[in-house]
Amino acid sequence: MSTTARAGTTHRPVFFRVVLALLYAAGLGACVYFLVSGASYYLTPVEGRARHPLYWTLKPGGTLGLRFGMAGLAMMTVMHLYSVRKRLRPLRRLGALGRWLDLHILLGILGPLFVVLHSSFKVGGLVAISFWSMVAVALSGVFGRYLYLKIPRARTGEELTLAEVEKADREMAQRLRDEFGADAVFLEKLDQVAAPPAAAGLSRLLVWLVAEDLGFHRGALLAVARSLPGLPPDLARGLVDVVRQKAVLRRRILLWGALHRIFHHWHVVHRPFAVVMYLFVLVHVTVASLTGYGFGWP
Amino acid sequence: MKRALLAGAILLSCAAGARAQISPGPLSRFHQSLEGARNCRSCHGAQGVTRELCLTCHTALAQRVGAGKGLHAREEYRVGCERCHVEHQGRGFELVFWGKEGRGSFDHAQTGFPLQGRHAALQCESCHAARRIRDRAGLAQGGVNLARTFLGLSTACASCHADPHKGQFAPRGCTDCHDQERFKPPSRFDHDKTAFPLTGAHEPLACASCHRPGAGAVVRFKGTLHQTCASCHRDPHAGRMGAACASCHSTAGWNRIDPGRFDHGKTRFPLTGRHEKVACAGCHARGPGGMKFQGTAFASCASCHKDPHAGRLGANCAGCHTTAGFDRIQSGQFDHDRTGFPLRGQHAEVKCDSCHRPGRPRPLKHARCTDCHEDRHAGQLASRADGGRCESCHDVSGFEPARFSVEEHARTRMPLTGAHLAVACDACHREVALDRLRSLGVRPAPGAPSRTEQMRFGSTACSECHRDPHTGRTARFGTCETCHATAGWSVVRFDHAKTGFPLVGKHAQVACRSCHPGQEGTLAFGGRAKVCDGCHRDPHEGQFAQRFGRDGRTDCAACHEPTSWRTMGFDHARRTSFPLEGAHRNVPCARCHERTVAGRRIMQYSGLGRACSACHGAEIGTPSR
Repeated sequence: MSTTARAGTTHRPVFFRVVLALLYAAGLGACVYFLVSGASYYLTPVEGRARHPLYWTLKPGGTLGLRFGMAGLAMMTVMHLYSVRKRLRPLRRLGALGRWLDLHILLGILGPLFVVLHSSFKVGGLVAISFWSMVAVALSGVFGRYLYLKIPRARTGEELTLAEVEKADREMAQRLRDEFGADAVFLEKLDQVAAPPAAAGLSRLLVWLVAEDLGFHRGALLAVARSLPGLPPDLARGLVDVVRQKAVLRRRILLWGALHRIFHHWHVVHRPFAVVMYLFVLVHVTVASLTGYGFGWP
Repeated sequence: MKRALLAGAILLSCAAGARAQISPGPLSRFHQSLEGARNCRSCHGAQGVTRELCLTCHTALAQRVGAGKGLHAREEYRVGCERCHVEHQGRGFELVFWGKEGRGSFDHAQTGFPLQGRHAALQCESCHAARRIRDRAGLAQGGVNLARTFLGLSTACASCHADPHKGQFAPRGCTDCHDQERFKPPSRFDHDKTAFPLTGAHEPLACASCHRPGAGAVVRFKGTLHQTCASCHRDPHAGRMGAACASCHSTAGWNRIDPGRFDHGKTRFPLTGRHEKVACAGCHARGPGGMKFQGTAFASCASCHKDPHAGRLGANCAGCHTTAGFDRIQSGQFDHDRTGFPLRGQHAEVKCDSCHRPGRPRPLKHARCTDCHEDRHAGQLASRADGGRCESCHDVSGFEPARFSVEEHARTRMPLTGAHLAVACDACHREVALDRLRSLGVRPAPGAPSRTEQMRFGSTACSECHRDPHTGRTARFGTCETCHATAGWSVVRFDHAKTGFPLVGKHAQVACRSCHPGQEGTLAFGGRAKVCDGCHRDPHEGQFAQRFGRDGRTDCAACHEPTSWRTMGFDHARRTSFPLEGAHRNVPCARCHERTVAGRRIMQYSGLGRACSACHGAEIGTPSR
């Protein structure tokens, strides 16, 4: 197994990227289109919607509204192929897990959006449990994806072990020494700057991670990089990039335990809510079917 | 394990309210009895919310739909009930959506009863009230909320309106007469289709004018008496004119009497003569309410007419006048003596209109005869001292003869004497043309006749009247009066000696005409030779012209004298060669001088011969005979 030069990132074929982008564009575009075209209805207070001209189109049981729900449910059903792929060994040959995750995330984003359109932003009754569960699942999915990116992975998307990450860190330190003439002091200084605050709680640690992503810690890294004198400009730019990668790896190593603990907790949230969502969706769909809402109606 | 526990915890936390949360929202208050999961199928079937499911409960509506009546039976409303009556929108949600503009914009025509006229402005509740629902019990039994439902009303007017006619027009419908705009007047009611079509002044009358409340204060339309005018109208004539008002009046108006129909003869003042031609308004004054017929005074003519006589002739106009016309005085009725011009003489015989002609001023002038009569003398006498007043010569007994006497003529420049006294007036006063009078200085009045008797003459000369039979040949002796006088034409006082031929002897006894014969009874004076043969024929055939004449003319006076032809002064002894002696002295002249020559007896005075045989024949041979 080859390791990545950058923690948490996976390699996607160009074709897949294009298809994925198109799917995102189509899905999100459709959502935006329906939102805009139905804005007058969606912006109408709930108690007045029944007299809106688009009521019978965009209400949850409307001609479009019901199909939004069906589409959303279908997406959120199909997205679980990722779990199947992840869990069934015979299916491991069916593409990289990362690609499945990409599809899982795509459907996990578009599905709820369509369900939101289906709900016409009116949430109540029993199905509200499913809805809010879906919201929780979706939001947790976003968070999970964030955590997922914080965990170093191979090109295929497989999670790297700590030893593999530490090895990559060492290789990066060697590269600094070889290519840029970094000395031990420089490397030590870099490790100190990259290190997260000690003894921070999980929540504080999450805030620190977000701040890292937002570039709040970049200045210190640049200062460290600039401390290495005598580099031509092009090399200086390469140094910064390598310094950043080295800092990320260092942080992942230092946060290895914390991230895995958070990710564990994420699973605890993400999945139960998904289960609840599907249970109540099942009830919702059953009731709707029994009361005449189906493919043939209205 | 943790995940399962968490999921279970979430499910449990939601399960408490799950039972009531299957519904997408609370039902409206009208369907709140159906709230609950067990009742979903009451409205929702496998095909969703169906019309049939709704009508399962809404039986009253189902009956109307089944009967094809009302809004919900229309084809466009045969979609699902929930399309209009949206549910699960909360308790306070109104199931009936009237559109953005509210209930007032609802097209009631869709219900099969278009709101027209005044109905269109009514509030729904004005009609759709529980008290107006006919089958309240039935609807209530069908679960209909009578306080809210729009069902149960009939399109019959009586479902909302009370019948003010109390069934008088049953079974006819209200809309046969009334529209929805206003009850009064009934725009669709055509009174012409009744037994009493409205015409004239009846047309604008309010119904209540004729149709008055009857029993129960219900205005009676049926059975309204109309056969006679008196059914509604009071007879202002109090029956005097009979019951057939229409014989005079029409519905055009009480005062609009049709002259062709009204018989004034039925009144106390029958119209005769000129009164028949007078327009009603000529006598019946107009008042604020039209012409006044009642109370019109007619007792005397003065009620209407002004007395042109200013009361001089009394108040009894009919004593003279009739309705034939003011100027048409009744014959024999009028006493003209009561006027300022009593009729006398021929005036008494003259027809009234000869003087009282139309167009002449009233009262007639009568101070001068010429006020009526034309001046026949064409103003010739105007220069007289009396101005030529007719009365000076004429009187009312007749224009002719004139009362102008000889004595009066004697006071003119031409006193009548002699034969003139016996001459008729017009022998001298002959008709002449006015031009002739104008030449004499007369100024005829306008309109005078073109010819009239001449009363004015240029002079008193005889020639003004008489023609000169002497054709001026006697002018050298003076005027007519020189020889003639008015005593007679034949009485001539002429001294013939003035002619150089004094009349002596027999000549003094001879009529003028014997010597001055003229043509056509006239005398021819002048040109007469003052010798015998100027008048006389020579009976001697000129036998003595040589012996006793001069210039070849016989001198009669040689033998004859003026005193007599036969008185001869002829001396036979002196003048002839055969003196008469003896018996010859007594022999008539003819015994010797008469001869027959060529069968003609002549007196031969010369050439007889002196021998006895010349007279006595040859046997005596001697003049011894």
